[in-house]
Amino acid sequence: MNNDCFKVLVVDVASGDSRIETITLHNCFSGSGLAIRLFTRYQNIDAPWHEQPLVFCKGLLTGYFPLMSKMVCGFASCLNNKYTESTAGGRAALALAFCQVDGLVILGKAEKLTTLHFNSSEVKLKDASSLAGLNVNIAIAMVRQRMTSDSGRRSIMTIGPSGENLSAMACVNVDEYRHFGRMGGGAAMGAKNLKGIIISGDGNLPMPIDDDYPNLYQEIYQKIVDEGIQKNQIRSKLSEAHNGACAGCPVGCVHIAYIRGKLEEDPSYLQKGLGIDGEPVFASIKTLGVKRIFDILRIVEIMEKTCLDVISTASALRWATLATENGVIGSKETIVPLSFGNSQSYQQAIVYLSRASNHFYRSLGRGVHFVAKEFDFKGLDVEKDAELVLQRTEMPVGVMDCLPSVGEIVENKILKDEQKAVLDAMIGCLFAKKIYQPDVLARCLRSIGCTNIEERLSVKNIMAELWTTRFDLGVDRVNLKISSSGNEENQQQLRERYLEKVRELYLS
Amino acid sequence: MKQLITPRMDRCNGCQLCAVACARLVYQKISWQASGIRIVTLASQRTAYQAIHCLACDEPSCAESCLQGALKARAGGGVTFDKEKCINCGACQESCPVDAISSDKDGTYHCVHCGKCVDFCKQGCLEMQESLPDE
Repeated sequence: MNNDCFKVLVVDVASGDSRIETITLHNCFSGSGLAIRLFTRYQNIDAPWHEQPLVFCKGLLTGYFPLMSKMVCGFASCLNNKYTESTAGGRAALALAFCQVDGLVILGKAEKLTTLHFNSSEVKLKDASSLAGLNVNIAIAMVRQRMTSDSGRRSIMTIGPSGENLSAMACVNVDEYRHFGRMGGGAAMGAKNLKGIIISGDGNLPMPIDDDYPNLYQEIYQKIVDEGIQKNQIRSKLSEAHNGACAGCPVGCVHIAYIRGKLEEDPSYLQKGLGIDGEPVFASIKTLGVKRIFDILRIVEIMEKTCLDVISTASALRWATLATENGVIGSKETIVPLSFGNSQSYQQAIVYLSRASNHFYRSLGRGVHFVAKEFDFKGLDVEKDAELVLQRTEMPVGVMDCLPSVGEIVENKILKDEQKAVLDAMIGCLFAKKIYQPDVLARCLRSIGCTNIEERLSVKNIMAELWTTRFDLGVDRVNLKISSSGNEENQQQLRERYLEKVRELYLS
Repeated sequence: MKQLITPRMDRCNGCQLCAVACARLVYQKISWQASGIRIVTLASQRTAYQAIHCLACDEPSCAESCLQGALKARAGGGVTFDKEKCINCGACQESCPVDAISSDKDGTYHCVHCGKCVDFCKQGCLEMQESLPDE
């Protein structure tokens, strides 16, 4: 196994050309490391975000071990024109692995709305003009209908109207219940005129020849089952029906709740399954003041359909509500009257936001900072609201230009980042943290034939590469957020100390 | 002789570890297709997933269609599979009434009712059950 060679599918959706490129990258730690390198390789220097490549990558261990089932998406965010990344589970990572490629790079912009389909032997671009404006549920159903034979081995990634309208809050839906959430991944896909990406994992990966592999797999699987995995427990009155899992992972962290609705003609009812997690509950209760569980679920339903990220959208609506309360905007802008706790209005506002229905919603779709400037209303909570978006950003150690952890001192932050670095480099699930300690990861890599394991797993090397690229890509001090506590002066000091430490530790 | 049954598919969470286990342990592949059991998505109110696998026919049509003698009827239902004899002609796949046989360029993949997949189903969807005696 030559693990310095990465096979990458490069698709130019403007010309329709596609090719497999074999790229040699020494000691690349795959996953987020590969995504960064691919982005820098194909980027259009000085071009705006929507002309930059869209990159998807799997990890070195994807498909070989349980819980190694996430995919990383690297793109330039419409929020700040800079490289960012997000991860998602579902079937995407395994499907990509079974197409026998390590990464997918999408270049250009398709002339019409398009879907990209590929498997291990062919790539097709299909006209998807008829799917324009369709919500995610319908889009997925239409895609399924067009390719029934691939059931079970395909991953469907789609955007909703929000992504088509290049909203900064647009996410990418992955296999119905998973998302590339924050930082506007949906807009990055919409900018390519791509409604969907369908990956049919119809091939196989080579079986490792190392004798340790079968035993190690068994050992890790048993550990996961015996010790249990710390799942996201949703302590609420959710009518949770069942759990879904990402392919290759026994945890089953997708909570699917059901809501029952009454049709106009009594006594007819309908039932809908919705993926629910801590994030939408947090967004609805804390940010929008909506407390009744079925009201929360209805908000989640609309966000799912329109494919808006729950945390970012809730923050934007919070700003809009505060602006309404302060008389800065009125029903001319919001169309519906917004007030905290009013689920009905929020449901309608979400649709307007996803469709960029008027000038106000178009501006709101560009993010809280943008709209706050435009309407010259910071609002008491505007910094906090922006912070909410940033804090909750998924951050595999990549080049996310916003760093979470409220109130942490720099040293703790560095320590935390280092702890996350290695596992994140493999694009493992966060639930894998306890199981995949560095020694176990080293054994895993050895068992699939990896070489230079020490170098690959060196925290210093990983961080050095990430930060070098981060600085190269122009992630600057202004956008770095380390803690939300303190005033701007303190923030500046913290940032400077953090970067000083980073330079001292990894770049000297 | 025991056979694989899938009595509790309503519990399935779609993790595919059963399919991956069969591929890895029976066919020495890293795959979710080179496997005697495949999980497909259903648009159903009752259950989200369905397991496609051999239903252990007493008179298996796949064995009848195999001119190479790679598939032989197994006591208690289903077949035994001799990979060495298989020429990957696809006749067994054509004959299977429940589409339980998958294939790729390297060969065909049958459920041989070994039960290895059962150990990897944490949800308890799968089970090995003693075949009913012949009447």
